Amino acid sequence: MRKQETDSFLDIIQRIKDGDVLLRNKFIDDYKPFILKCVYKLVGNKDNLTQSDEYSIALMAFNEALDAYDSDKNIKFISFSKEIIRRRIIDYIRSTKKNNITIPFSYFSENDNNFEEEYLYDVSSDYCSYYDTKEEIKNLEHEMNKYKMTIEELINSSPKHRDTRVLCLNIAKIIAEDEALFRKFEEKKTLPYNELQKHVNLCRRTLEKNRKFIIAMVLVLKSDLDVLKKYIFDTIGR
Amino acid sequence: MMKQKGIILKIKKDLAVIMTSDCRIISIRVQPGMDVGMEISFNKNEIVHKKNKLVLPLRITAGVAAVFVIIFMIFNSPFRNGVYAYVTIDADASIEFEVDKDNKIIKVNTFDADTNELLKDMDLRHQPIDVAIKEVIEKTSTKDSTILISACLKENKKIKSNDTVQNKEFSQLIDVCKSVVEDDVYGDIQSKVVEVPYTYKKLADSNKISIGRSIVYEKAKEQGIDIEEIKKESIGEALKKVSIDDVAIVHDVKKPKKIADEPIPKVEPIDKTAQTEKKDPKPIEEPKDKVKEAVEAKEKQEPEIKPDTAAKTKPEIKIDPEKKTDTAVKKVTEPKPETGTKLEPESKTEPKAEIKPEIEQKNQVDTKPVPKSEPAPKAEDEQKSESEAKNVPKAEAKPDPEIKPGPEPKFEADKKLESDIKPEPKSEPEIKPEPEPKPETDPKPDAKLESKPEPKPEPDPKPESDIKPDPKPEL
Repeated sequence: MRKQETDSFLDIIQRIKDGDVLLRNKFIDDYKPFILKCVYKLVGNKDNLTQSDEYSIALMAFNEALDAYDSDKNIKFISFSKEIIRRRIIDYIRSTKKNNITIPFSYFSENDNNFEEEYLYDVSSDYCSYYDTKEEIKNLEHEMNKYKMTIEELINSSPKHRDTRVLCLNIAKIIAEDEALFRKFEEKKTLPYNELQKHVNLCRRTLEKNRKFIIAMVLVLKSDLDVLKKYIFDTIGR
Repeated sequence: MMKQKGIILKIKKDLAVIMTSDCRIISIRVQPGMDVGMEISFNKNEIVHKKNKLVLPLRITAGVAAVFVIIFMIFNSPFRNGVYAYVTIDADASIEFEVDKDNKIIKVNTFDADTNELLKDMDLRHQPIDVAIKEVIEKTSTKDSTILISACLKENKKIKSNDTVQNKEFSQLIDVCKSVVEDDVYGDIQSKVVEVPYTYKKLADSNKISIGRSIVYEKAKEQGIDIEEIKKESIGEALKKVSIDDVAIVHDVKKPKKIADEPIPKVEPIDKTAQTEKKDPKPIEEPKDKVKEAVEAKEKQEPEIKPDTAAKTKPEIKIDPEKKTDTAVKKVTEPKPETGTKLEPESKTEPKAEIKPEIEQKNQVDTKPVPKSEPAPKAEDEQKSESEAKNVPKAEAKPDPEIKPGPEPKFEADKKLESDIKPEPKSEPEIKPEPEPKPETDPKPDAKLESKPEPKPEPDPKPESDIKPDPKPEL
């Protein structure tokens, strides 16, 4: 059996199919090198490949492939889209063979806007929320840097066991909700160990060990990242 | 299939950092379309552990390193540490040395407990073979006066192409062994150095005896002598009964009696050259040969002077015989390593050698030489045809036929040696008469060349002189 596409990839495709235009644009943008390669293989080295008709045809074909792709068919998306691009371009070459004079579409457009920006434009998606979360996460990272830590460090320093994780989240919640503690936390740029010991009966070592994770969670709780906050509360509540 | 949900916090190269719905922070491989802040669902097996990421390249590098080590070992072991040859010493005790290319001992094998005891306090490893042999002789020789040293080349299936190189190195090893026995100062030790093929080593291994003894037993079997009897005796006594000389190449080194060692050449042409090489560095044991050389040299020099005075008009030809004799004298007197390098220039001068005899023949036909000189040109013709047919650069055969008598008479001597060894000294006087006529005949045509046919040789000598200067600087 052939290797299946990963779930996260299928998730993205599914969401594009469901109508996430923003994601679709991003997806096509990420795949542009691949599309260009397909065109190059079929057409050869033209003067201005990105401006050529064939490239536009390929972009449209790729867009079509996104809609037509069926994950149950046991074929990789890459090979599937490659096949569609190939067919469309061959069709195009055949149709234009009779009358050799073809004027590129781009000749008529005066502005240099990208093809997909002009023709794949969709007003319906909500840009605001998307950019909000992006901005918030940037902020969060910035805050973390103040505490001399990065997001990548969290991968290894976040507790593996569910119990410890819930414990840490609880501590983070206490800090975030207690005014005095949080102020101390911001001033010292570290966990207020001594004050915390009054609230929870925990040895200092456990706190030290999970310091980074707790700090990150406190910052998340203090931020406007609603989705992440929801995650945290869900985890504690369960 | 455990599906999980999470928000992408950061994208770094090909990894996306995700905070999952149960508040873990993990990383997965980036898929196209992923962006920071995106909520995404993924499978648990997509999670990339940072440790894994480190381990994977580590494994690859380890694998590559292992491959390199293996390659290194394969290419290095046979040249550095591999056993190159075996040398066994058989006195009353038998010791086998495994020797590498630099004639250093890698391993010492013994065949009984007594010798083991003997070698206990000696550390022979990593010592050159000559030192080791000396030490062993020091320890053992007081009891026994005959030592049989047998050497055999380890057969290597891979390196068969460079036979000549191997042969040279092996002959060096033999030389070392011989020189040790010659130089030793422990009274009247008689010793034999034997070169044997690898098959004997195998045979000896299977019987768990030394090579030397296995040869003796083998020969005893052939000559119908009771092996059981020999087994009890020492090597010296055994050697008196059993003649092993037709086994392989035997070098007798008997110090007190000056019996010249005429090595028995194998039929292989390369071996022949090797022995002539070996012969050269020991002028003391070959007084007769030296006289011969001297005679040859004198006779050669005589014609040299003649043309110088008689025919001053032809400088080209004058140069020719001069050089000839020079090289001839050199070859006889110079040590062996030089002859090894000579092989190349000799092959270069092939055309010259072919031209020469022709001229000589012509001259002889013209002048009808003395009946005495007739056998010599015939021999030359034979040599010529031989060399032409084989195309193998026989060391001294082509450029100067005067030296030829060296290897040639040996054949005859060998035949006699094979039948019985004792008349060794007898064979020598037989050799004498043959080389003598040759120098006589050679100067004659040379002299004729210069004196009589003036117009004829002129076109020929020119190419000679053209070719000649090339080999000289190399010599």
